[in-house]
Amino acid sequence: MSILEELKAKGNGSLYPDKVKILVGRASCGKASGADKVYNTFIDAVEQQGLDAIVSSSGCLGFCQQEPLVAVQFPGGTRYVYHDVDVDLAGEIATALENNTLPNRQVLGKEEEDELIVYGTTNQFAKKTNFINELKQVPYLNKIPFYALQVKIATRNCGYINPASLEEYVARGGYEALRKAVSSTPEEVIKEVKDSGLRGRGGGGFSTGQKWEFARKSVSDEKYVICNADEGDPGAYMDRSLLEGDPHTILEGMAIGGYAMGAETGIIYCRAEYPLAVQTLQKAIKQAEEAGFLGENVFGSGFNFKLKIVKGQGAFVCGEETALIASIEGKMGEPRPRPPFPAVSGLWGKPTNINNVETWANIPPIVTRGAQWFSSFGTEGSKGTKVFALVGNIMNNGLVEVPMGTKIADIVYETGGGCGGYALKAIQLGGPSGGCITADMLDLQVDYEVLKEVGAIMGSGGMVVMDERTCMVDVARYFLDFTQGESCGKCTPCREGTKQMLLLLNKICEGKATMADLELLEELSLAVKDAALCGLGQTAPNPVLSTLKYFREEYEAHIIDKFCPASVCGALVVAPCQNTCPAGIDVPMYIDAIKQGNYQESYDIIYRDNPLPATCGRVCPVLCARRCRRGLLDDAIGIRELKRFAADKVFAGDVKVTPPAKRKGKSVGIVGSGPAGLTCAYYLAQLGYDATIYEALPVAGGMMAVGIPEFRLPAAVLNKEISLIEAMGVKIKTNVRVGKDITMKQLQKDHDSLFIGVGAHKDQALGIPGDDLNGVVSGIEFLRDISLGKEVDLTGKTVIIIGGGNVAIDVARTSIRLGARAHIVYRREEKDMPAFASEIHEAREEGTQFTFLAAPLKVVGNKKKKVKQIVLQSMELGPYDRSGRRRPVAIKGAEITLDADLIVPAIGQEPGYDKIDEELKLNKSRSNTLVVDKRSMITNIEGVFAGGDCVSGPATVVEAIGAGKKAASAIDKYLGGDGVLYQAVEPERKLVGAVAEAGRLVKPNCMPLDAKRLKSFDEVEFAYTEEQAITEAKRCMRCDIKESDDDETGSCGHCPGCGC
Amino acid sequence: MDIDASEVRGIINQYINEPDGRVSYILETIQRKYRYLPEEAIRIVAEELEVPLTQLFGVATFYAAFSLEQKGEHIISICHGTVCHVKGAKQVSDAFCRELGIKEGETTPDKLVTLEQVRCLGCCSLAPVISVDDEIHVGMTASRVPQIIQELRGGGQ
Repeated sequence: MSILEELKAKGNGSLYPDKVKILVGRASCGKASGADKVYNTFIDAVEQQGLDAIVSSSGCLGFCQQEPLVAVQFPGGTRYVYHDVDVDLAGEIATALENNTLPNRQVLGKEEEDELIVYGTTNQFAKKTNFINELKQVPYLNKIPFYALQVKIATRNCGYINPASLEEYVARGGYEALRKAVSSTPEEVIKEVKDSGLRGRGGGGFSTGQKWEFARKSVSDEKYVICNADEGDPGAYMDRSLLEGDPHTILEGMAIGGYAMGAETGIIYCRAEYPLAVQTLQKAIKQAEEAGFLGENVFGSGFNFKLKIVKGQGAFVCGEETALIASIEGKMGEPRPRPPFPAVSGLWGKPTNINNVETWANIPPIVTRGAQWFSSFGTEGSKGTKVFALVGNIMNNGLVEVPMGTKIADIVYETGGGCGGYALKAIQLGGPSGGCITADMLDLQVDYEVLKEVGAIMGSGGMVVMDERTCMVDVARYFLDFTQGESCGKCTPCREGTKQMLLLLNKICEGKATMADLELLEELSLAVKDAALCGLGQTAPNPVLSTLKYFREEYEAHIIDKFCPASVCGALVVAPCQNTCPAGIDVPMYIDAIKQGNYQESYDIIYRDNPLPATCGRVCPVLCARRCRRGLLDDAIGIRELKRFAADKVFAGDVKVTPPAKRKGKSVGIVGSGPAGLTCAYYLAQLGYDATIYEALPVAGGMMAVGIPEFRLPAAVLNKEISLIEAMGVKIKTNVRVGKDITMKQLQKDHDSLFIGVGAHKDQALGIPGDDLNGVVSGIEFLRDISLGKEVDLTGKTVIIIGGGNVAIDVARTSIRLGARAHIVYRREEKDMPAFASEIHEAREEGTQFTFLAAPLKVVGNKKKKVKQIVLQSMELGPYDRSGRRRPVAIKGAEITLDADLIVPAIGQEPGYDKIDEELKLNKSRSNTLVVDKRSMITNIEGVFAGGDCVSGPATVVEAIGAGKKAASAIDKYLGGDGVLYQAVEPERKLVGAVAEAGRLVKPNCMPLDAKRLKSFDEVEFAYTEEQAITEAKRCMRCDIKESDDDETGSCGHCPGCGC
Repeated sequence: MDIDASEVRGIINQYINEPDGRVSYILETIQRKYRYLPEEAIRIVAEELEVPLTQLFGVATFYAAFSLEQKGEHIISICHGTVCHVKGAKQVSDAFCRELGIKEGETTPDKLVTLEQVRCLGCCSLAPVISVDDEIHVGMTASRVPQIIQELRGGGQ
């Protein structure tokens, strides 16, 4: 029997023993997650408690975030893979096995067959196991989203064999390729590799076969093949996983390469930061030598090959070929000019071929299965598969191997499971040498040329997902910091260039840069890219150029506005909450004031930046709370509830507003009394301008008055806030519709400047047959009529609402209070609804019915042309669109018909202008909003500014407030002022009283959910009690307190009692 | 620090016959023994291998693993790889700096701990990551720092 057959037989016996086998993943990720303790628990169970099973270890199955992973395999081969296994679960598994059963929790999936890539066959396992309680409802492992798209060629053995077992490697096809190769000619081997289309997987992407051919053609007594296992890219660790999980595939690949190219010595250059990989390789080399796969006369062919390991001692640049060679020669890792290429003159001046770990790992299957098989995967120019390290802000983190040509959207959303609640911002591909792509570029395929075209690179396969919490300028700086530190220093462009680029980026992140600096940064980037000696310098500017291409606005915000939109750059951020608030309210200070019992002070702090605190305290979507650091620990702070508490407390007493003594003698006309107009008017009045608001409706307040129902925002509360604004000197003229009752030209004559804040009050029509029937009422119109006092009785009626935003919810809850049955129809799924989750919850509690994945087809009327029914089209989820949600696609023939008395479309709003846009010839966007300069809020007409929903499209009250402030500042500048709304005084920030270490969000009391509430328009949510408010305020971690003056750590200098 | 020249020569002899990567192995072994590369030791290596002293000095200062200053008994390496960075490596680093009273790259006065920066330990799915000597700790938070230091102080690992 040949050595291969002998080892194979042993290996099969070890792979598929006739007792239970427990395979624990113990590569670096597994070990770091506690796999060793789990392993020992099983060993104990066997040795001390007599469990009849074999316990073994394997490499990495790829789903690193769910480590420790344990596979329990039954005689015959069927196996179940458990995830997040701790010592307790291990104990449970051991105990259950003794009773021929298994615990049914934390099971990732099952496998009933084993595909042997090297042979092209599949071992099918008997479906029956001798086990009483087969686990129910366990999906097949290769069908779960994380694995469904994967094709494991390079990583075929990882997680399936014990890396310390040569036999198991052989049983799954190992060394068959080497045997085949040395019985063919070297030219035949090279042709196979060439025809396969395999390209370098380390990042270079050069044709592997061609490289081999060059090395073969060089004539020399000595040649070398080298494995580049330096894997320096931060964020990439697939090579480590291969080395630790399947070392023999690299040895075999290199031996084949040595044979093909005529090299008798192979060197694996492995970074010292991977001690487990080095150990694993050393063991494997010894085994292969003992078996005769390495050494003299391999497979009796006359070919001799020896392998050794050299360690990289910590230098990213040694991932570059010529630097790597210098390193082996005992020198500093300084690159050398090419030509001569290593294939001609490399290590010790001899012909040398260097390939990446993953490239070598692909060689054995290419040799046994052939070029045609390998090239059946992938695209025209990029064949085979690629292992990606899918990491960062993504639900499923780990190593995934997918065919080239796979869409990035599929990798991110299907395999990766998306970002989980945060908006995807960018994906960094290829590490420090690479570039980023944005969220709307995800249709791109993974292909060398496709990615290069958009300014990114495939690189080693690092795929770092970044969400809205990442600052792209900081990312560029981070990468430059890295490459600048790793620059070998030999060539001036890289040594000096990266240093200067880093200094510029630091300046930008500190808010000290100018636009001239930005220009210089770009110029330098191009120069360094052009002139550097090696790949490190040539690619170091890529992250800068790439982020500049797609996120220029973010750079400009740092430079012009001294603002970091992602709340990352410490020098520019007071605290993430304050920084995220469109009105810039000093959240930590007002929360602290409540904690200290100074409610008036709290109100004053809020009021400085927001003249509508009682309103916002009821309806704000708290964009700030999304970034609250406390949320990383337990729950975000109840910022909105605390705001309301302070406002209500102060409103209970006397509130005084003092108009300014000094008048400017100039006047501003404001169209629209929504939050944008009111805010703009308020700040202008405070500065001494005469501000007059023209409001078309009988009441002031815009959407706050006629869009938000009484039970969420009582008119009395809103009107009190508006009266304070009037007390500041603002005149509000209701029942004046600009464009009808008065022209813009007249307003231009009457005032020195104008602000347009008309909001977005026009509902989009359904655009289906029957949408003009009696009984189809737009959502906005519905809410407005009720707010203005129209008496409506909907007792016993069915109201069908189309839409998923807050308007739809408000209509539903209002309808219920008017006696109706409310039914919301939404075209996507609940988790995609833009409405606030708490509102959806309330609506459901109050009895709203929901139908998802349905879109309106037609409205059916009776003979009197009144609404009778609505016909809906059932939808299912199709491919992902740019928002990261799956696009609904009609299911042919599947329709639902619902009886209806009232149909209310609430599918989106747009601004209505009463022709003032035409009168002034204002520039508008494709969605009919006004186009303004985003910093000065000015339209294309001199002296005319705009802000709020009529510019942004339907948004929130607080964003409109922010816009109103910006406009007020810009108008002040336009009229000769300095644009400063108030004199800001930096408060003393210190911690008085400890931060509550534990404690979830305090929930305010609500009206009990009973029949009374469903008939009442009284406010549902109550204000915090004093006790509740102070308890909640104590949870704030005061991220605004910095440790010291030169502390730039993120946005919280120290964490008094936090665990983040 | 007193160098045992014969021990150094012994180390050199282990590797001298394999030119590929011998400098790396020799220096690594000396570094492990003395916790740095003493000048005297480097001179002996240069002499035995017949390579210029400047070449070895270059290597000693070029690679992150080598140090011309003695390191502490324990080395805490904080990973500042891309994912660790995005997931809060700075906060973890600050916590260590505060607890130990030193900055990254420095050693505590009692020579117990050297705090280092490393770029990518290859456990990105479990960021933030640090290593304490050879042991990797994943999912690090600032709150776990005091205990780790406590364990090092109270009797060593």
